[in-house]
Amino acid sequence: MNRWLRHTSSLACTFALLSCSGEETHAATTSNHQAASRPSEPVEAFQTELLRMAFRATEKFPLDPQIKNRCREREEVVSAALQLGSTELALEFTRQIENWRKGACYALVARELVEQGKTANVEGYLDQALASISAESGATGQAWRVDRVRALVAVVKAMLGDDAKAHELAATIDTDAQREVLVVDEARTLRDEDFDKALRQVDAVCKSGSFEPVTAQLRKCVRLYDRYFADTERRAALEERICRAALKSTPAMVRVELLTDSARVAAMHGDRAKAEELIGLASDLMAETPKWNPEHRLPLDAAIAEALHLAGATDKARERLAAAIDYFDANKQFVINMFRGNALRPIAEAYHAIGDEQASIDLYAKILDEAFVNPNARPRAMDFIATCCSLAVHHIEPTAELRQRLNGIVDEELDSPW
Amino acid sequence: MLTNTILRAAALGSAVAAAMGTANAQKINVTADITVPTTWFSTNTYDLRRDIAVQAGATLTIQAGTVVCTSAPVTNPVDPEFGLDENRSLRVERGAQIFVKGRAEAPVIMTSAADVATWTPDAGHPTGGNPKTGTWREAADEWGNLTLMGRGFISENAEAGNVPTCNANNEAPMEGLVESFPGDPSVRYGGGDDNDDSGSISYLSLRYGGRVEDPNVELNGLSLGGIGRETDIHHVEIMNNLDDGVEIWGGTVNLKYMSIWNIGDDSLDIDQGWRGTHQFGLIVQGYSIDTSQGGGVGDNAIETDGAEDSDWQPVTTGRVYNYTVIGQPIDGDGLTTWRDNARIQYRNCIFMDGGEALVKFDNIDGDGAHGYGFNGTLSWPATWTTAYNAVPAHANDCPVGTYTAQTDGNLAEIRNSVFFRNLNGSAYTEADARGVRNAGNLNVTIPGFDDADSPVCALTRGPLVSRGGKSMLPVTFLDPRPKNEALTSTEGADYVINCFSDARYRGGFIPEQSWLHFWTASEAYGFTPTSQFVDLGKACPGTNGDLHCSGSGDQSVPMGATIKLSNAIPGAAAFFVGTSLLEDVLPGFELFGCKIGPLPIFGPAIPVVAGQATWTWGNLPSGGTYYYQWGQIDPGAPAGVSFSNTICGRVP
Repeated sequence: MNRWLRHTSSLACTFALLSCSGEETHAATTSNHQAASRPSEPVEAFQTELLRMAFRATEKFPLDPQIKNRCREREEVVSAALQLGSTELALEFTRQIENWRKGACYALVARELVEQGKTANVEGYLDQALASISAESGATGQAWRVDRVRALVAVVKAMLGDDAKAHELAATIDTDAQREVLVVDEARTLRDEDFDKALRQVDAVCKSGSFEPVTAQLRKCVRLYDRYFADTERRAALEERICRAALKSTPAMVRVELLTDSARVAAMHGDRAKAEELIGLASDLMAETPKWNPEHRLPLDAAIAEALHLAGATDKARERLAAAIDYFDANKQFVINMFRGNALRPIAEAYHAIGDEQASIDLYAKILDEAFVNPNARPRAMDFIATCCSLAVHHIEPTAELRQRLNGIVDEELDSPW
Repeated sequence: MLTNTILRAAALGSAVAAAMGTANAQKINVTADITVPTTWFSTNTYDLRRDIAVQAGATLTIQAGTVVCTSAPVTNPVDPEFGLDENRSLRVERGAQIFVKGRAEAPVIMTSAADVATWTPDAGHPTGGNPKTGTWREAADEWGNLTLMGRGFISENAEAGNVPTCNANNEAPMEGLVESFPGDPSVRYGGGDDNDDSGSISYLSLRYGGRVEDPNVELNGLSLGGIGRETDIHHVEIMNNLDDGVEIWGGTVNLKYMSIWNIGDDSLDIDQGWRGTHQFGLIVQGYSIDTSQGGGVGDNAIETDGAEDSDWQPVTTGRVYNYTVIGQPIDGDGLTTWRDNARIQYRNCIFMDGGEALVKFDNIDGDGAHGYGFNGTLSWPATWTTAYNAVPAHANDCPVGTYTAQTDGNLAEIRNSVFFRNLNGSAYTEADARGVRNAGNLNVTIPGFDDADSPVCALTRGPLVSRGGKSMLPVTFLDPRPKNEALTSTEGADYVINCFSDARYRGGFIPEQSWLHFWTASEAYGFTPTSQFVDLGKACPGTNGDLHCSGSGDQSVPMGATIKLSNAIPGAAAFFVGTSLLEDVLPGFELFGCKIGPLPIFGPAIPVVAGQATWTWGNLPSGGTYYYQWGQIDPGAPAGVSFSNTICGRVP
């Protein structure tokens, strides 16, 4: 899932993201709602240190008037902890969130616990999730926030097999969004004998449905592409649909995402030629788009570079990343200074993914420099938190020098001006 | 006992207020952009002496009760601080945030010095006048406006390099702003983050604006470009603006409690792919100055463009619920105007006194766009018959999650609304062609023309005048609360629960009281009735849904005020919660997840009869502000107890 799409997340996207996060890609082919148990891996000390550092930065946000920003950033840290499988850290942080996002985070923690097979306290967390949204149901609240929490809780209820409650909650939220999660989740729960039926459904929706269902079906296809990669016939059928649809009627960014994700799947299954072919299509699509803001282009460059690396073309990946940095440097005046880190972080992550550790660390240092061009504590803290989470989630251990700088920032450089 | 306790609290509050005082009040000339976090205090007044930008990363907080009072532009270059500059606006750049922290009893007012000059003298207020007073003038163009620029998706086709697909790279310069260099991001809006957060705005009154130096450009009262749904905007008034009242370009921002009066162009204008919701609004068409229609004299009440060109994405797809729209009966333009694939669901609205059509099919906006049905998009008729989630796929379509505002029904519809005194011969021609008045849409056309038949409690117009060559009947008094067919909405609960506050009535107002009280120019100028009471919002629902608290009468008279509870469950007594005025000092607390006012004092149990209970009292000292709320033990409520909305009562 590329960063641009993460930015577009809304209620519908929330569902899609929940199911498209990749965490379930290799889940068992069970036909019931119960998620397969996925044990958590131990979190390394430096990762915990980074997340705690990020959370300390959220404490700098004054509640008034920054409560929305503070809580949004806290949810970012919770999400990072959950990506590492650390429900303990996530819970510790969740309890300190001061607005409706506490509910969202309780639901996210519950979901992770179910995925790890630890269901003992899940119902309690779901109750707390729903209890946290009362303030948003008032006359001046925003209903999408309530919906988001209900949607998250509904997903977990469904994972627990409580379909009745899931449907009860789903009835009060956006039904299209609910359909998204079910459609994409079919890639995990589909029975082998229903494959052809699912394919017919993809065709029918792509032919006549509105765009959101079409995209959900295509994302399902990418996941099925992974699941059935060893099955030549089925793989070809899926690839044909992904490429056909991706080349015809979807926005460039989504097309690049679908093709790049498919390329990664092919590469991970050892089919380098196919991966390179798909990457070529994605690259051509990017070249055809007339205008790119670096903030939106570089994350796609990073995704393509990672796919190239997985396909064995590490030199090309390296070239792509270097070109991306050049593009940034040449065009950064078009990016508001506080958002420049958003462009560069995926490149730093990609450098790490291809094994260029020093380049990655150097780029993180550059990101910190760029963030501090803005004189205000809020954007600095936001960027700092994003950087800490990025390092932790991607298992990038900071050098002593970078660690010292990070500590210095959180200790001394985020206190003002707020 | 209760009264004594509250009176003691009132006295303490008064002392605190006096201590905070206005002895150090200053008039601040704002001459430089805001680059670091800044607070504007209610003890000062602020005069915008040039275009002021809240720059990316910075935050502007405006305290409740603050008046931004901008003086007239200097007409020769002798301004000692900045020289000649007619541009006097406030803009919030992408990445910046604004927090307008007005309250009903202490709104933030952005207006002109000429407006303040009409306020009743009040030496205790930093402006020297009482902001709850004033006289309406035929005027606008006296200062600029408030502009917010965000990072949500937009569909703008004039900018080189923008593409017709839903694309995060699509941006546009905000009208009235000048780039420092080609592509200057500081004056642009748009991007790829529909969840963007430009801050929070509450209880803000914008008056007499619209001015910019460029003679070819007029400014809207409130301009919202690419604003994301994380931005909170509610209780905003625009009175007498030169151009549109509110204009929205793309993004996903949601608005509640908007009052838009005497606007010189469209009262509410939506374009470039907005995908959000409006609920609770009032539009009163009129004029601000005697120029032309569209530049001082009201044009359309609500004008919606889908995209800058009709096959671009995203396309405006949203909902407008519970609006009271009062047109100009002779020369007003459309009550709802539709262009370039706009898709709006109007529900629970009042449309009355329109001068043209209820549904005005403009199709194109005159800037070279191609209208409905262009390049494989839905035709105009099909837009009204196509389900919200059954849009045929199109080459330019948006990614998943772009369209979430509509959750049922058809893309374009007007349902469960009331139509009254729309007397143009073609008032319903297009609406009928689209089936708006088919029985299934649950709309009501009131057959009579008399005020007694009206869906609003009272409406008075002044004598006929000619403005900009148009015949205008200005509204001089309005009690917008519902009457007759507007009192109830017949639609089921499915959609009102989904995404909106649970409003079972038509138009923007509940029967008991008006959310215009205390904070609006319309009340200060005498256009809307005064009341000592204002609704501050909902608390905890019970078995019957929301308990409702309303106030009436005079708190200064012994037993002169009545605090009423309705929608209570039978068989359980209600208890009355009185609170005092110390909100600034003690911001209240939460009980069972409900916001309870400061210093709650639980009164004796009061019997509930037919779902109602009343508490009468009074003899309160002048100048105090009091908060009231009802509670009831309710085993069916999630917390075992339910609380009503809180109301605020100010003793004159």
